[in-house]
Amino acid sequence: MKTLALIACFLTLPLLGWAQARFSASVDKNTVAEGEQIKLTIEANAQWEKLSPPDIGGFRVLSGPNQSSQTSFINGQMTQSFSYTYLITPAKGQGTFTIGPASAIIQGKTYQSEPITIKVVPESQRPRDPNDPVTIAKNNTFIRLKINKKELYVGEPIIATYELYFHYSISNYQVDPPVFTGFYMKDLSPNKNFVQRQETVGGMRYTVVPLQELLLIPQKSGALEIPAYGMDLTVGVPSNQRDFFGRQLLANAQISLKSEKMTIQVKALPEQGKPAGFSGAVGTFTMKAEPNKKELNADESVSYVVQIEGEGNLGLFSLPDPEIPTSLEKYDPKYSENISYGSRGMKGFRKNEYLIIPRYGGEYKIPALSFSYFDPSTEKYVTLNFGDQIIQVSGDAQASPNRPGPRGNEAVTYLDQDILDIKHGAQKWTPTAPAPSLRATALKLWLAIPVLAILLLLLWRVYEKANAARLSDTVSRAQKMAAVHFKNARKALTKQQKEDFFAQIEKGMMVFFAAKWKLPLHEINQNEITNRLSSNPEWKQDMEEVKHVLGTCAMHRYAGQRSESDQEFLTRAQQAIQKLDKKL
Amino acid sequence: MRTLWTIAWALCALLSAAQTTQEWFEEGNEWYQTGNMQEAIYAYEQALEDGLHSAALEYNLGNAYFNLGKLGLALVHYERALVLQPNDEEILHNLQIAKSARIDKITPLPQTFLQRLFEGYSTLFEKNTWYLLSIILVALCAASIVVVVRSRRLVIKRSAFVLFWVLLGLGVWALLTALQMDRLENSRSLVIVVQKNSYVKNAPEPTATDLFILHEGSYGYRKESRNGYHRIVLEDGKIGWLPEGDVMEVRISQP
Repeated sequence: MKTLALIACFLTLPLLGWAQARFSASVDKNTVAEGEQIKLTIEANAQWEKLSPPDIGGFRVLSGPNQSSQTSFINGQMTQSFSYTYLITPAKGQGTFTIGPASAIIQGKTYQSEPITIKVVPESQRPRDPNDPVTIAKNNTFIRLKINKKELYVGEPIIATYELYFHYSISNYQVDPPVFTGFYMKDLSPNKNFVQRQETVGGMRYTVVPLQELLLIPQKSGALEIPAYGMDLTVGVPSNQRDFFGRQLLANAQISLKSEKMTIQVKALPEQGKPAGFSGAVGTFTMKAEPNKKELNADESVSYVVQIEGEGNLGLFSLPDPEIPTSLEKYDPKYSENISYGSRGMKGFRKNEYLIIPRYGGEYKIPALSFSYFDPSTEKYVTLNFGDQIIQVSGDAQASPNRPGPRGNEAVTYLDQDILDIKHGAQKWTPTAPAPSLRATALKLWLAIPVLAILLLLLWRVYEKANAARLSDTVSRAQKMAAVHFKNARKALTKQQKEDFFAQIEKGMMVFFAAKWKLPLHEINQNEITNRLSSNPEWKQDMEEVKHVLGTCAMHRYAGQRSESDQEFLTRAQQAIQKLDKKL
Repeated sequence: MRTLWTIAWALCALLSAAQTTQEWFEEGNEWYQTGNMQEAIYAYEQALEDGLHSAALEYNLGNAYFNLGKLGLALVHYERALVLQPNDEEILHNLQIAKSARIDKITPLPQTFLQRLFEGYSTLFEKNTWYLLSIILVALCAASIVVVVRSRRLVIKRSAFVLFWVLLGLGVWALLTALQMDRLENSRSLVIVVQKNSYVKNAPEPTATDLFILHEGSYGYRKESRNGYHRIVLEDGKIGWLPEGDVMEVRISQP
């Protein structure tokens, strides 16, 4: 049993081995000089599904990837090989660099190659083989940088030209143009027809091709660097071998070239004699600043042109701004330019055209305009002046300087926002603590006021009732009036004035009934009283009493007879009235 | 007799030594005009010590704080000045400037129609004036019901009856307005952040989670206080607890 298992194990081993894919990355050399090339090969023994190329920091790909695959059958067994080949060259100078691991997915599994360390040494350390095509190519191909001056002022133009010199045929070139800092740069090459020419340098004939011609205007002072121009190309170097027809075979050498760098000294513009309104113009310029007509009618337009013409850093400064009086209607300027670039910088003109419309007649003055520039050839500042310009406008003058005409209103805007000043003066001082809330008081009063009102009404009612009861017990107004006379009667009795006594009693009765029935006194007599009293049978007895009193009074007046005492009679009259007072 | 004189003399000396509120105010103004803000603030604060203030004093104090860059305190005093003189242009102008110097931008939640209506009319009078008005109205109401009961003439009886209902309605409305103003004042008191920044937490404890940061001059309403923290609600509805010392109330609490 054990042996069987062992046999099975051995039988399956090759299968396992076959299933394991191989994936690797390799280079042809681990030490390389600057400018030399390395062949980087990524290889696998099966087709990959996905390949992530390695990170080749510190190197630059010259060509590739070149794909290749091989399939071979040996003794009925198939061997496959797939590879990617890159041609790379050092890009970051000397040192030790690592090519990162490449990874690939093969048959669903991820494989990674080992990282590769490469040492880059300086060129001279490497022994030169004079017959090496790369060495030959390098010796016979170079880029030259030419500049037209080494020392200049800020703003002064300089021309930099890069030219390629080569002896053997070249092909496959890639350029790495320089990047400038501190310069205004204008590439002049597109406008130029580059002509290749022949030149002999050191006894060797070279073909010269201009690569780039640049107009540079330094923007700051100090030592500024004009950087190198890089280029990768293939040079066909003739070899010793010849082909079937006897022609020399060419060996292709891939090389990278770099021109030299140059440093120029940029001088700052002298501070001495610098005009106040200097805007940075360097070169030679002329200025024109004038209206196209000086006499016109109101509401006609006039254009005022400010133009700078000349050579220098023309596009790199602002045009002078004229102060056009606000009483003239002024529009935003129309700008135009015509600039050509050449070895002496920018040449041409720039101008601002202001459209002005005077609305009222009169004489208007456009103040003088000045423009300064620095002339590097004489190393001096030049100031151009244009005097005051007078425009005569015919037409109605503005009504009065105190009455300005209509103008577009503008919102008053804050120049700066800040708080207002403090306040002064005697103050009305109030307690800092807030006044206590009247809440509790108000709520109490809301309860108390209705209660008070109801109490008031109740008390009023009680008072009124009590008053009514009292009134019903007492004598009426009529009885009171009668009582006055009865009082007089009593007085008369004490004075023994009998006649007056009876007259008063009679008068009292009359007054009583007159008041009761609201009749005038003269309409009241015994008959009237009897008539009225007899209308109601309930009053019969009272009527008799009244009749008796009145009759007695009359009788005594005329006859002087009577049966009862005076005192009793008075009481009887009073009682009769009291009784009637309630009934009537 | 001699002791009495001594006491009177001492009292006179005390009175002449102590500056009045007005004098402190004027001293503050002088310091302010010479550009000495610290001294001006000291003088103004001294003026407040007597428990008296005026719109101008609060306004000047706000200006002094603003010039020192203490935005929160400046806003507190401007708001206090505005309570005393609600429509003063200078106060409103400086308040506006100070508000625009704040860091936080808090967009107020839109108010409901009723809230706007209430705010519109209730500010016509002060709270206590509303209370007084309601008391006057209820008194008139009581008078009119007395007239209704007692009057003999029908015309007077009827018109007094109508008047009674009108006055009752107005009186109840004035009272409710005053009560609502009182309630709002007590339940949400305006507070202003006076520290450079204040961490607003989710609970009144130092270890609680920080919800957001308020910067100097931001407004909030204090809803309740517990454990040395205020629960505030911002105008945009954000709620949180912040330490009492980080904010200052615009309303001066009674001693």
